[in-house]
Amino acid sequence: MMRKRTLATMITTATVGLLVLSACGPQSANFAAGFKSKDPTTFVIQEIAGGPATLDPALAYDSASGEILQNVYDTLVFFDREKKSDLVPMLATEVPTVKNGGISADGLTVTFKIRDGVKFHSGEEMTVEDVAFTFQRGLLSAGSNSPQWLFVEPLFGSTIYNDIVDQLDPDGEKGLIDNRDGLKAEDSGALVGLCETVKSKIVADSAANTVTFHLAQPWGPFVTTFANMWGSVLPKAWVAANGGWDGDCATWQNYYAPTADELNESGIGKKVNGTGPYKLKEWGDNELILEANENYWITKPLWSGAPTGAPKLKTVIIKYVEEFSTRFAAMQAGDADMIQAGSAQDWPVMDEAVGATCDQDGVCTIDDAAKPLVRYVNQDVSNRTDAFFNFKINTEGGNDFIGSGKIDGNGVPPDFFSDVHVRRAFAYCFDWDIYIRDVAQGEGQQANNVMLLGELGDDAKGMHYSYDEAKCAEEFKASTWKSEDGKSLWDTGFRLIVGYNAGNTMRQAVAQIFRDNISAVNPLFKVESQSLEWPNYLEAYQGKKLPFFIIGWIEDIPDPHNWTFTYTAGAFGGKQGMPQELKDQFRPLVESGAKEIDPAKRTEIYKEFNKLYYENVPAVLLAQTGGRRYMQRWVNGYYTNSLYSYNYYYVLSKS
Amino acid sequence: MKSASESMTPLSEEAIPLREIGKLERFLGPEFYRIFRGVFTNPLSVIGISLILFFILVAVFAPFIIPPVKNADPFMIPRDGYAAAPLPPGTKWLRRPPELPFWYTPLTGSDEWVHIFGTSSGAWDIFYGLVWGTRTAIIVGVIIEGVTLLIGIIIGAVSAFYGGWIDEVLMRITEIFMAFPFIFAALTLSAVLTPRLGKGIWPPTIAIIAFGWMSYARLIRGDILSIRERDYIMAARVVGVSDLRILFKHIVPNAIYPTLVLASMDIGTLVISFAALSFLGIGTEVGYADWGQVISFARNYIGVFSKYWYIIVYPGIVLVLFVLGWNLVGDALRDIMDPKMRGNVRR
Amino acid sequence: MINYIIRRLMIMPITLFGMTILIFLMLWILGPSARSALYVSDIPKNEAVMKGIITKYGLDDPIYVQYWSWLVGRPDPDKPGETIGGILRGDFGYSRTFSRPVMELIQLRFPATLELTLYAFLPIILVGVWLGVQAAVRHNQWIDQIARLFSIVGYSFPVFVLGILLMMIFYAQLRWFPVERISDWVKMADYTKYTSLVTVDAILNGRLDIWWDAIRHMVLPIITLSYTSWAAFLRITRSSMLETLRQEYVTTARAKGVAENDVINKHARPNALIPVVTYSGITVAYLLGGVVITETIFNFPGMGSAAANAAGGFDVVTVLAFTLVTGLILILANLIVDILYAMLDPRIRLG
Repeated sequence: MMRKRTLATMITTATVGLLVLSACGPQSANFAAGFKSKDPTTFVIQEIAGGPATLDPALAYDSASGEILQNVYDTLVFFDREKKSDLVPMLATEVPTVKNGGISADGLTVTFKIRDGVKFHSGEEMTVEDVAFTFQRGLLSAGSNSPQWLFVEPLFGSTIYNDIVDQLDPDGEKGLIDNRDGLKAEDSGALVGLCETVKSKIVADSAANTVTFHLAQPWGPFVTTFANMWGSVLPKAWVAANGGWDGDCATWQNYYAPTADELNESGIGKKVNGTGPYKLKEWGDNELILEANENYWITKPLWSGAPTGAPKLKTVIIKYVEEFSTRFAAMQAGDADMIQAGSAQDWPVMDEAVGATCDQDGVCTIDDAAKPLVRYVNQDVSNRTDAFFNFKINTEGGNDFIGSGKIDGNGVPPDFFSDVHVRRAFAYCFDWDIYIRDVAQGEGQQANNVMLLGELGDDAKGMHYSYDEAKCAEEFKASTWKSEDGKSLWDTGFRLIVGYNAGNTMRQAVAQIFRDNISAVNPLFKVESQSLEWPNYLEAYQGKKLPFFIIGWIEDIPDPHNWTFTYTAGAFGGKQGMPQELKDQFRPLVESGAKEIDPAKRTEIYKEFNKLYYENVPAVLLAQTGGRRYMQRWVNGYYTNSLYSYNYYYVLSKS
Repeated sequence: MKSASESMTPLSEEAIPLREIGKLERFLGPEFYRIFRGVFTNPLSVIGISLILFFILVAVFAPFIIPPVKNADPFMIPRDGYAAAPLPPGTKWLRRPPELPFWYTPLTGSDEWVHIFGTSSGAWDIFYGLVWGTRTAIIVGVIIEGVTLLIGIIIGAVSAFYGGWIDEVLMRITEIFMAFPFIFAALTLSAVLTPRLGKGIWPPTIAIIAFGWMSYARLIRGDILSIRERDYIMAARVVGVSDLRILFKHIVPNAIYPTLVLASMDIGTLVISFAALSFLGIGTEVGYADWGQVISFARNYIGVFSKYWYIIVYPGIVLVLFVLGWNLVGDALRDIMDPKMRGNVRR
Repeated sequence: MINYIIRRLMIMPITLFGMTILIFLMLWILGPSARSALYVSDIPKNEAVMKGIITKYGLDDPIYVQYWSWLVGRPDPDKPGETIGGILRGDFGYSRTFSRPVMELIQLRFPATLELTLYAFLPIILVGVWLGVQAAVRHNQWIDQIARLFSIVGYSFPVFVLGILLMMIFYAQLRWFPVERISDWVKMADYTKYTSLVTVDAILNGRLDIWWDAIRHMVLPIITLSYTSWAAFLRITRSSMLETLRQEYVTTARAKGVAENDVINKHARPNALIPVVTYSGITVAYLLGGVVITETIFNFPGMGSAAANAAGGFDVVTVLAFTLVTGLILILANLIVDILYAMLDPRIRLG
């Protein structure tokens, strides 16, 4: 997911990070010795101000919402503890595979066996109709700000926006995307027909107690998609009673792509009725309170060592606190059990109160018996911040980011980055070592390819760029750009502005590394950094006005396709204005990579993709920077799955 | 019993002897001369003036105190890398240090730049930020105070001089601008202006001016009202001197002093208003040489004061001295201009 | 005096009208697309949708039409017969920062700010004035010197530095005075919220433990918010009192043999208080502005921290609404001050 919405969530991208502990055993007894919480059943976490955008699982697509959803709703399958690629059954009784018959041999039919006797918070029992309705409603209520494209793509095949309305508007000419009024004006027969198609693709069978999905193409990561917050199962009757769609095919268009206030006016956006371990007690403007679901249905641990029955923490208070110093003070005073740093820039401050350190393997050492905090360091993450070139900078209505708009030493032309030499020069001028050492506090590793390190398709031996002033200069000299009087780019110089969202010190540092190194190569080359307030940043970004932008991506599903698609066609590809011929080269590789089931063949396809990406450098791939977590020593059971949105409170307890 | 004549002192002894009027006094005029003398003879105000002079000198000679890094915008504070943890004073400057100024080697005996006051979080050099920030402070202080005063004086003077409905309208407008708490109003206006003008010194500068002139207008209006009816003004009117000439030639110069006192004291606090807006994220670009920025860099590190004291103490001292300087001068001016002390030139 | 007060009351609507114009002008500077937050909650994703919204809600109408719509609302294009917007109807638009209507946010945040400001203001008035008078009567130079020192240091040191230092010492280390408005157990506690002012509700419910908890939470914010005002207040009271004591009528009273206490309490003090009353209006303004930074530091859930948050995200519609509301409070406070002034100042009181 691209973290959207608030400034605050943008700041956290890839800096706070989500961590993976591969083998964290139970913490040793002396670990928390002498550190006791005043109130062992209440957990207080202080996070950066912001809070959830909505609690409607069909539309939530930000980590603050995800944190709530993953604790109040359950999903058909769930991650096996910290392992993001292994699944355990949750609301389903088994994870569908080809072997157990859950996935058909051609990979086009996926059937989930649904668990009996699971009750929603309101007391009603969950049925297969509820499950099927949840996903039908999801598809039909999407809009481009929702995570539903993750389901639309496998069920309908790749379309222009991967949104359900593309079926009525395949080229996007009618502008139906996000446009409810436009949709309502469509032929009612076509609308009902589309809804019926959706229902025919997601079928509940109450006799067999199953829900079956009919895919448009084989899709390796399909089952994994259900493990995250967009897989949360809702009760059908409750949705209808709380201002949501009731399943009637004649009316679905009235609920399409709701706006933020519509979401929060309606019950489903504000209230919660899930099957999860926590209930929503209160959602205030600066804090959110969860209380334990005493009748939680789990009687057999999901994985060995997982808890059963009612959660140990009876109350979880999530506070949204703007000021880092205030959060840190609450931690020192013992009033908060866990806090979020503003960025890696705050780690040295927190370290002052740290007495124990746990590493990637879950091995903990005690550094100072008297200090109250424990830190989990040097962890794997599922997100990365990169720097993207805009091939076709929008100049409509003027564009200050590219100065004069010409090669005259005081600007760049709108298609400046269509010259591959310029892109390569930028790539050679980035200093990964100093980025990892200073900005990521030494916890990070340069990205090899668009996909995450170690993921299928990632090739550590493949080509990648490294800091090289000479090559940077050479590429700039090789540029074909000329000024009006025929002087070369090298002799003329250029000036452009890198915009980043205000407050994000990490992105500012990235921009300044480029600025410093490029101007060191040639003083005529001026790359300026400018902070933009969030709405302005969003406007410039969405309006494709930023010549060179720095943005992060958090993986939605643990699969390279989530990266290859996003980086060449989806969220970023579209904003980069990549020329069609380049897109056409990437597209077959992206699509065949997704359809291919055999990992060896997929690796080969991605190898080719990586080579093409390296040669064309549509973006400078930076580094996967480690996340840290800081908490009180009395917090037990902590581990992180990098695809969780913050914490899964069910597994935590306090001593 | 002494005679009456004996007990009375002769008139001639009581009378003030004719004073020699110096060139300076003739040049400045009696009123200004009195102020001038007062300010330069009061020890506290001499300290204040020295402080202000010191800051002006620092601002003027900033490029000689610490030259800008080659090819870089001099108003952007240079960074020695991007590290989060502040570096203590005296740490060697490793990455792209500025050129050595003339005074450095003779004074320190070294030919390597060090971070004289350390760096703040993000490896920004504090010394550079404070020296070049002095320039920003003086420039911004002069612009803001100058424009604010001008607006205040014009509105106050016109209002008082013409009276009637003009006075009524202008004073209502003044009241409206005063109806908002300063920080709220300045915050809002800079937030509105930033998308238009871009981040930088202008949005906060304009916002502070827009919501800062009212007290001057009110003050000068009051003072003019008391002068307006004096004989010499009446005389000028009778002679047929034009309104504007009377207002700006005769009235304003005589009523302006209390307003100037207030203005001089306000220059110091302007810097603080700037810092407050920086704290709220509405100030200059991150890294711009402005004291508010330098203080803001310390924001998250104040929590470990014992270890990173230098990131707040040095900028703190600079701010206090600057405000103190203007306050001392302002205080002295107020004492001098207190009507009860008028005429005591010889003191 | 009655005439004066009537005149004052008649001016008030004019001032209010002017305030709305000023606020609307700032909205105008924003431009039509940012103004859309008055009517719709999302930032439109593309220019076509944006243009549609601008036309739909008349965001490119002439300025006076838009001003009127902003003031009293306009017909809702989606729901025939209903009105949308209109600050007089309490519709300030939608806060994108807080994901709720601005009016709802004001209702949630106003009581906390009111309580904090009152608890910061009343001690200044009661104790500050008394101290100032004492300092004048006893010719205590050192109180003046301390106040002077405080005001210079206070004005020259950014309040957030002091606030964070106080928090680190008295909350993080000593744990004497917590931050936020109330402890978590109070949030769970069962008591009737009559006024949303925690201290008042606590007393009405007879819950002294809650009252004490709320007071402890306010100690640090109050100090941070008001210490410079204390200094200024002390100095003004003292110098005004000294001035009055030098007046002829006081000397006459003394000469006539009036007891010294009576001289001070009945003759000098009422007159000395006239400038103090005027200054208290300025103090209210100062405190109301100060909450922005103070509340942010101490995570005090009032309008100040909300405004700071909203400004950080350039959610101008929200910030403007808060500015208008604080402006209204200030106008009311100044009205009270003026009436008090009229009652105290013999020149006005007597005609």
